[in-house]
Amino acid sequence: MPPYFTIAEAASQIAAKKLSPVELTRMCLDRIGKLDPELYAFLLVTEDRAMADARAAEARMMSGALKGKLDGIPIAHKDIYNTAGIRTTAHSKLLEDNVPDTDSTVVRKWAESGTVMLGKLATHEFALGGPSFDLPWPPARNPWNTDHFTAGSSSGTGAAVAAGLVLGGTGSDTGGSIRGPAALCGLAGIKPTYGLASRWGVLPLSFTLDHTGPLAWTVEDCALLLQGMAGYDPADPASANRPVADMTADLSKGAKGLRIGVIRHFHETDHPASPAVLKGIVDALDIFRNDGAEVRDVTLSSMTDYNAAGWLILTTEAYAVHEPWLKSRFNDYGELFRDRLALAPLISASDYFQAVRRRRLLCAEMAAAMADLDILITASAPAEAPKITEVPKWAMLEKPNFTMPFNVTGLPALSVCTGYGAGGLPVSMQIVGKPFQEATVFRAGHAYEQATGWRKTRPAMAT
Amino acid sequence: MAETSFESRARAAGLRSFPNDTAKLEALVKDLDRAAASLRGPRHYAQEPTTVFRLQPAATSR
Repeated sequence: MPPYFTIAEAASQIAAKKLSPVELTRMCLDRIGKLDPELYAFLLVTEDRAMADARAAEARMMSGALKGKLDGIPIAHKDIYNTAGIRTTAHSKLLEDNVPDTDSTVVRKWAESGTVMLGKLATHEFALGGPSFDLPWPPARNPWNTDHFTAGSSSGTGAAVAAGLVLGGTGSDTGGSIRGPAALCGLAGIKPTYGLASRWGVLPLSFTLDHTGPLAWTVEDCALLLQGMAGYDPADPASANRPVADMTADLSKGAKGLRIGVIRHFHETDHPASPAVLKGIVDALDIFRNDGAEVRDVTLSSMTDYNAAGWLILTTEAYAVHEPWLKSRFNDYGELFRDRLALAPLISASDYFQAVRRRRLLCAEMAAAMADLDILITASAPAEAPKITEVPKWAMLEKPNFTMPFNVTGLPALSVCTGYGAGGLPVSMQIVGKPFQEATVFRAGHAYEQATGWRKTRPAMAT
Repeated sequence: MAETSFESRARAAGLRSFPNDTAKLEALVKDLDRAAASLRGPRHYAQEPTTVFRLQPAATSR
């Protein structure tokens, strides 16, 4: 296999004219040709577009007119991001032939940054449910072991980035759909603060919980990608009209002086994580302490409370989006999507509104807990990836997920790889920041990555 | 065969019947019901939701 590059490495070599964006893109396309028949990460490879983008980047490189660190970097988009003139399906029969007229804001911003678009990536149908075997395309497979689940819903992005088919990609996150695949595929993935990155032109699932964000091999790469997608967008009513911080400004500061709160009950009692996940967190806290951070426990409401509010809101809002199609094209949805949403009308309007009222209390509780802290830490996922045929369908409250609390509160949350479990698959932790404090989250994540060697290991199939 | 409470609720909500899926959908409904029940606890009548208007001031004209 050809060498792997992080975005930061590739950008540095492109800037020095030591790496050709055309050759880098050809390298990725070759890898897609070799590995994607087993991974099913791509729903569509846009080779002609990619080569055109790469040649344009190369011309800018040669003329000294590079647009920045994303210029010439091969990426791909989750197939719920609208791409002008390029099929956007949500991995669903309902949109099998859907070709949008315009790019979503994030797609446009990345294109304007000079990225090279390699195609559209698998997702759980309309970013909900999965893995599904009854859709027009198969589900993506985990490059660490293709019998195993990628998590979702940004399943194709997780698989593609882990296998080095692209250097980064877009995801969306309504209850954990960026951080889940980042966790199970051994990547860095951030759900930024609600309102930081535009959702315009991205197929909605739940308007008050939906976020856009990137996945990449390293935390630094995530910071570079988020820089390229963040910013006020008047077309998105939730978009925050405020200046965008420098996402990489604090990367070199290390963990010294950080005040870290550990939501221990989330991963030890509310949903006990596996020994490998727990060890990863304990080891990470030791690294932070040794680097001069202050670490203490914090107690919040049960993770079940956050999940109860989050899932009721998600289910109700998603039903409102999909109701017309559920009534007219019920059987064109996959079974998992239908099962999850078809009964949403059984949720009363009052119960939905109680969830929204409870959400406000939960937001206030977490803000108070963070008042004298910089970041929170808990797990991202309970264990290594299960087999793709053994993914449990329900149990959102018996086994509440670790990611939903930060969709409910809208806080920035990053998943980073903390090693590998007994099965050789990645485990992870979650680093959570205050609103619009992504730079601090990246600082902590980067400090951790620099202190460990996990980023040196790629999946065996990709080496 | 007698209709289950789940089936009658689904029918009352105008939902189509799910002859082969009743058992698995009941599991989901139990989860949703449990979530809803956990949110119905006592709260102050004036407690606000997260979804509130925050209007921008209109530009003044002279």
